[in-house]
Amino acid sequence: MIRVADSIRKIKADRLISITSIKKGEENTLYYHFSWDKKPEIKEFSVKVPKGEEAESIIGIFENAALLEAEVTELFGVKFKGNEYSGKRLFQAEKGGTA
Amino acid sequence: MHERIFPVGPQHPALKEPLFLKLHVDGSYIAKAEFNLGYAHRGVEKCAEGYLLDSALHAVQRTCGICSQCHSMAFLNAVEPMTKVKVADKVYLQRLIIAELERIHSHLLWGGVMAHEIGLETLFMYYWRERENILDVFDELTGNRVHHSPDLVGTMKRSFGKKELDMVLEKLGAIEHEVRELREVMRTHNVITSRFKKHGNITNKMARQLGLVGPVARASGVNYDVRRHAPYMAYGMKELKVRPVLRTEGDSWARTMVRCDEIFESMRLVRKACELIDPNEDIPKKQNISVGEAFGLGRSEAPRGENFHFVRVENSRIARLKLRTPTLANVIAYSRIMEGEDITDVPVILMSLDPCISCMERVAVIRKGRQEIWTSHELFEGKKHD
Repeated sequence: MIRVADSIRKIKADRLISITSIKKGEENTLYYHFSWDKKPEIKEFSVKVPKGEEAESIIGIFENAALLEAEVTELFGVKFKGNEYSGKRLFQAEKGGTA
Repeated sequence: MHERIFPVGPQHPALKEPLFLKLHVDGSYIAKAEFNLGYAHRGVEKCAEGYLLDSALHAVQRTCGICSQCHSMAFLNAVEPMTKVKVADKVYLQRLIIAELERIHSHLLWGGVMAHEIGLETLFMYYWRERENILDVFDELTGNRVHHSPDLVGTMKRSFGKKELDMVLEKLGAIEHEVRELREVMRTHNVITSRFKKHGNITNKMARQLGLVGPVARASGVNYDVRRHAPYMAYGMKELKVRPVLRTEGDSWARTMVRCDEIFESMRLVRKACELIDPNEDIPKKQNISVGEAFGLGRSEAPRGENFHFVRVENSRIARLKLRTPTLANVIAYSRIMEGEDITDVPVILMSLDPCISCMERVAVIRKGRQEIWTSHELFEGKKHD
């Protein structure tokens, strides 16, 4: 499992804006973006997740990571350990459906 | 007492967009609420890939029919710094006018829908009558009532002259009194206060934990507004500093009042921007833009909250576009605030969050070999693959 929670905790951001995945070859790079309520900056944290590896969920730090991680799982196949939404259908059609 | 499952949606009179709410009810009280998404997803992120910046902007502006300018501004905040193009102040001011008019239009639209949900059909019509004035302004300024699309990378398609600016000011003057009266109705009407107050509570702590944005967060005392905390474009001018509207109650009524009051703040900003614009100044023509390899982040404050765009460009074309819309940030609160409420309050609580489902479900994966899926080229050209 790729550990990210400790490093992210050290950033001490007020909010998690988004989690973006970019796939190159067999490897995904996850970009986490954070912001503060009183500062204008955006902080970026990135981590590479090789094929077949799981990433650590950060729900324990930012609850809104639940859906953002689930979206990455759904579209890029990166699983997050500790996220109950990860692996469940979010936006894509149900099996056999056309939504 | 037996727990039963009560389905709401995806097609339901209380929902204007498709969302499936699975309510576990004990009598008429909601014990647990789950939501199911994915009924309106399109391909904005995927279809923008491989296109030039101006073409991608065309798609991005169509992510949402209500806040299309705010998506455009977030995208431009991400890509304009990489192009090194100097954007004129008049362009920034014009973009601000459209964005703030869009906020007024969005909040008026929402007020009407909210009135409709509680059965006040006349109030709904009054709200939408005033909204119609703003759509007329969009028509005059941009040629489009809904998807305005006035922007280009580095500039805009039209320059606003005296005639356009006078129309903006005239229409704002025409609706202000009526909108104040509508606000008073929302503030004092017995039906509204009894159904909105102390329902759908979101505490300040919960709003922070869940990373909520926009009027939903500001109604719970979270002072977070991108226009003020990370000023972009004309919001950085000292005359156009945004005064955030905050409340602390955190219930459906507080969210209603935040939106009602934000309309007047937007009117102030539009009037000030009209004063600052030189109607005789021309804006730069469209430029050919070339970007090697770069990535950018852009934010904007849409009527529903913070929009976030992550853009990666390779050889002047989009390699990856990621949009985080405000409803995706707020949707996680749905299941929390429904719990413990009565089933009859569901429409009010849901609408008090002002969800924009189609805006949220912007993602689609294009698969080959499935008849119903379009390629990005077909989406852009409007032709179905045979």
